[in-house]
Amino acid sequence: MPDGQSLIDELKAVVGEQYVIHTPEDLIVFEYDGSVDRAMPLAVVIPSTVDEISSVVKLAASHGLPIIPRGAGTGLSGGAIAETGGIVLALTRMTRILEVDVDNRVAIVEPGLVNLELTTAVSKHGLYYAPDPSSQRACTIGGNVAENSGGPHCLAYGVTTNHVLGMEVVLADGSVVWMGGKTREHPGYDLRGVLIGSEGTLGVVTKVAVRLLRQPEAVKTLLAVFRDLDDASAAVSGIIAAGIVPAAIEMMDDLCLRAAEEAVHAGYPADAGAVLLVEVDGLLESVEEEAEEIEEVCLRYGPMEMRTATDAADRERLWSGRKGVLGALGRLAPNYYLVDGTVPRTKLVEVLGRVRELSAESGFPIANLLHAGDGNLHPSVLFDERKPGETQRVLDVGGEILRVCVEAGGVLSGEHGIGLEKQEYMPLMFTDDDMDAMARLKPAFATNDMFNPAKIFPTGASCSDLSRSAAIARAGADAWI
Amino acid sequence: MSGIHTRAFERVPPGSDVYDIDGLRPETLLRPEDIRELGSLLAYLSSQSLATAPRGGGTRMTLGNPIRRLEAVVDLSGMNGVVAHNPGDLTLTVEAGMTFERLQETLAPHGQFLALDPPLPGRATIGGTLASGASSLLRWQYGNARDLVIGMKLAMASGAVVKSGGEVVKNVSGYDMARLHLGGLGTLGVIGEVSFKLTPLPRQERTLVASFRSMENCMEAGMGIYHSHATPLSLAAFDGSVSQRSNALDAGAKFVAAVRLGGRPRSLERQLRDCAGMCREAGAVDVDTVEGDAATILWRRLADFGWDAETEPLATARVSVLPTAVDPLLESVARTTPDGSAAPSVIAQPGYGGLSMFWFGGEEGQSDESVLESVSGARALVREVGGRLVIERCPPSVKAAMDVWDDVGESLDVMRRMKEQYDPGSILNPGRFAGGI
Repeated sequence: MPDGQSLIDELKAVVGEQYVIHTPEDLIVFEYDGSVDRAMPLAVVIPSTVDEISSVVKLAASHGLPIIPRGAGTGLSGGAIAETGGIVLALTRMTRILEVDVDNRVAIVEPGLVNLELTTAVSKHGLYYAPDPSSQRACTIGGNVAENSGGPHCLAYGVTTNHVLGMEVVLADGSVVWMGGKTREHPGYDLRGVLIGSEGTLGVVTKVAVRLLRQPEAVKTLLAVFRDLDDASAAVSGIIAAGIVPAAIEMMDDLCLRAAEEAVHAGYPADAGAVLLVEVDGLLESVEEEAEEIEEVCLRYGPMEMRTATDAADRERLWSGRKGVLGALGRLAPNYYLVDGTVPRTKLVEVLGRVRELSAESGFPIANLLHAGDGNLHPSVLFDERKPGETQRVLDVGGEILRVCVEAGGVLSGEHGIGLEKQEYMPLMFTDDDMDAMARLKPAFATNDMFNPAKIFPTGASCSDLSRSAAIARAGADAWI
Repeated sequence: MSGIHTRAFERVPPGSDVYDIDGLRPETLLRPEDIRELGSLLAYLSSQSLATAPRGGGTRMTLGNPIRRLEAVVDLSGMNGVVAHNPGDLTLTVEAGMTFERLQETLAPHGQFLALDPPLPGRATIGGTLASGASSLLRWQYGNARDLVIGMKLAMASGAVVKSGGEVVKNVSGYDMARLHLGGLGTLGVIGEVSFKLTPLPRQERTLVASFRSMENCMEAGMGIYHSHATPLSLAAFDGSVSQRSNALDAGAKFVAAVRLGGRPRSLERQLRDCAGMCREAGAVDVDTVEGDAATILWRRLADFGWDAETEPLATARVSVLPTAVDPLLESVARTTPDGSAAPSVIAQPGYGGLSMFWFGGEEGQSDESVLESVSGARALVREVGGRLVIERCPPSVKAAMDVWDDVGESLDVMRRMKEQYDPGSILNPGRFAGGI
């Protein structure tokens, strides 16, 4: 073990004294992210240039210490937790937009840039950055790359990997390489493609070249209130069957509606069973034509109420219930555990039925929030961590929900990643051979397992032994989905 | 050799050149019937250190650097079934040996399609198209294979059958391994099954064909459309030699912009009107609309151009540059090839930053030396504007002189280590990939 103080001194020499955090009282804020887990790093380093990052990586390697890259810490699967100690590399000072190439619709940004700030900066050119995770006011582009983040509007526009053209990466030997670039295609293996969604385990991304899209000419939002989830789900299937892929299709169940109604007074009927929020955008005429058809489809399933909006303020009102719902769940219970899974969208009704059964069996209320268009569900298990044993039981229910998703032909995570949260569940979906093929990316990138170790792959601990959680999820306005 | 049927082995007839690659003739032909058998075969080939080339429809065997050795060809055309089609989910899983034509025929009755449009769909297979990174004119609107593939099953050189991704459209469960195999030319593993995200067929379709006096005007119209709110499915700009050789259009047309538009009636009308207006503003001498079979044939001939028997060029290259660099690039290519016979035919996709170049040679035919000169000259110009030029077909002497993949940059070391991890005996297409991988 190296002398801790000498390491701290060396780090300070690289990034400057004020950008190395190492006292226990200062490190506490870096102990957790948006997920269930906590662990204390040895130090947090906040670099401002790629050269500094390269030096820190070399330093860490020489001390045999891991590096845990970190953006805004909004991740929900424990990706930014220093599970095995080591150095957290917080990229929050690297927030510059280095280039906006308006004619070619490409921007090059630093990884610490907040997602929404990119769209804000390029909106004057009539452009925007499409991936819009619900945490977009806080989360960073670098974090989005690590988790291959989605968002409500990824139904039509795709997730982060569909919008990142290339990135500059610091590898474990401190070397700096570009993978991909500003153009749409690059010869050679698609390294950027495997790096995106690799949860910070293969390298540190220091610049990101992203595609920008032209702002749509028109946007229309429709809100339909249904008596139950089955009718709402049938309407979703009807929309897809009509050959429409809207920009977004969001769904909330009765429990979410109750919470949202109390919190933001969205005006939903008291006996509503589900709300569907559908957004179409694009050419004025196509928005009108698609919206007309979507309304026709919804009417077939006997909605209790339908509203539409085209101007920004009215649309914001329709979205308010949806956007405020996670914070509002705090009104129903002190804590919630947010599960993330995706199933084929035609299996949503069946899977939601199983989730209801699990809720009844376990006694925990479960509120369902869905990116219904792409089959991505977020059951939120409501509980009180102060009651002995509840946390463990809630984790077990979450595991059961994942099992149900996988059995229905779905996957362990739609948009939050595996991280620490789901690593023990990987064998539900993948064989040893599958995981061996994945694990070989680490020697291919020559990481020596120094980046974000002990994540993604199972450690062999039984799922029911996961007792590391002190607090499971912090309900409140600072959580997003 | 468990799990391998003896009928999977055949000897390649000594007199047949069908399976030759770069002048090398394999001895053995293998025809697996499913992915398990494919895995078993690869395990056997690895154990015997037999150099192997996977093969689908055999339409793009010209691709790649010269193969170092070749003992066996694995023909995947027997693995050609639909594994799962879930119309309501807009997803499809098929075996790699299925042809594009059959796949689209399977989907059409459901009002869906796979938004890829590779050359020779009657012969080209899913696996071969994806592994060889074939380009698609539909990428203008729908992107490339990497934007449509949601999962994959692969047979690795070790014989292991592994999966990545799944059959859902949104997924971050484990590393996104499928990316490595799109355009990887089967050098890290052989694609056995693929899951796709599907697209609803446009309600109606119409194609606008505008003729111009110069490529500059043609590109101007294309870039105008790129900057507008119109959302064409495909947008191609090409010169008169393409029209002439492909019989796609009247030979009189000098430079043509073809705009494939789709949608519901009112939005289609609006886009036709807007795009026609932009073409006229850019100086179009003629603007016409085609639909139905005529439009289908036009787009088919453009996609097949350079690959079908009628238009076999001496050399073909795929270029990727920034959208704004296309026009200056074409000007400099024209300037440096004053001899018309050495100038390449060009199909560009304005706004995407992609173009294909085809060298046919003059009436007396072009010597290999002059093809080499033309292609390397074009690559130098592409590099000047920060792009890359990948040679997809060329005479052996050109392959011997240039890396057909162009410069893959600083990450070549990572790519080499990747090959060591997944194919340590280097049996899969040895030498054909970038940097001689």
